[in-house]
Amino acid sequence: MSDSAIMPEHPPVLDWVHDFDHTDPRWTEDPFPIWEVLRSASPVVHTKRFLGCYMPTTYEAVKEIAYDTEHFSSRRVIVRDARPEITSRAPPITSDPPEHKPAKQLLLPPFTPDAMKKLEPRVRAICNELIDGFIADGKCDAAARYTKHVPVRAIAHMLGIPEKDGDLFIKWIHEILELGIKDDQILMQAVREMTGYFAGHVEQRRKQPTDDLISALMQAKGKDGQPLDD
Amino acid sequence: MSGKLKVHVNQDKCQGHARCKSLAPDLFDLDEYGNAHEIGDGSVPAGLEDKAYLAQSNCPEIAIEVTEE
Repeated sequence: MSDSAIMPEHPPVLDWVHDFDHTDPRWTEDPFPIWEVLRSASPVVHTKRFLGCYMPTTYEAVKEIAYDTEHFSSRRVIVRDARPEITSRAPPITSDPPEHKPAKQLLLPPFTPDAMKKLEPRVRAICNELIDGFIADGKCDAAARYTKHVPVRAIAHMLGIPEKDGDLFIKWIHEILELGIKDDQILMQAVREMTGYFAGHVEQRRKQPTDDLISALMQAKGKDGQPLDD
Repeated sequence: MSGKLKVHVNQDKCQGHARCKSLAPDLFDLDEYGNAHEIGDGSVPAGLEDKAYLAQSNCPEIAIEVTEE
């Protein structure tokens, strides 16, 4: 069963074009026919839900908005029921120019194709370990038992934290990006847990630097030559 | 008969997605920071014209220029 079962209910959508809701179970199960309806109505549609929001429906409209950083900000990346003050930023995802480029540049070297090649043996091993977990069953839900674990474990490996803690990422992603759309308490609790978790790892590395991505970011300097804040 | 093609990566726009390098490794390379640039003077050898346009259309930052000489 989908997670919408435990989410607070929104009133059902009767008019997709003027009252769309991307958390409606019909949308999350199969958005494509709904998008067809929206697209044939207008390149940009509006809903009063989520405190009022607009959605581009065509390639051209998406492209125009995505490249128009003067009129459209990346400050908020999730459409939610509430719009609380922004307390923590997530550069470069939530950065606008001119902050975006330096924030992105910091993260480029560890993600070059050559760096990825060095990572490949470990990622292959992660895949094999996961397959070992269900091969005896002869079948599995590939998303639940395989694919969703690969990126979080690979990232945990890059960050230099226990790969098993990838399970925590899955939990936080679910709570922040999915349940958090409608439930502020779940969202804030998850953000607190995640911030505390990484603050602990940053603190450890302040005492004893490591050669992982967290240490690399801690040693990075901003444009002004000063270290970045936590 | 159309002229020879040249590719150029606009450094202000490039954000290091490296799509060009994956799709057309004979035309583009990355520096140590992961930013892309054209190989040599950007001249596209005969037979690689499609690759040049493929890289251009795949660049998420619209940073690649393809010009005809």
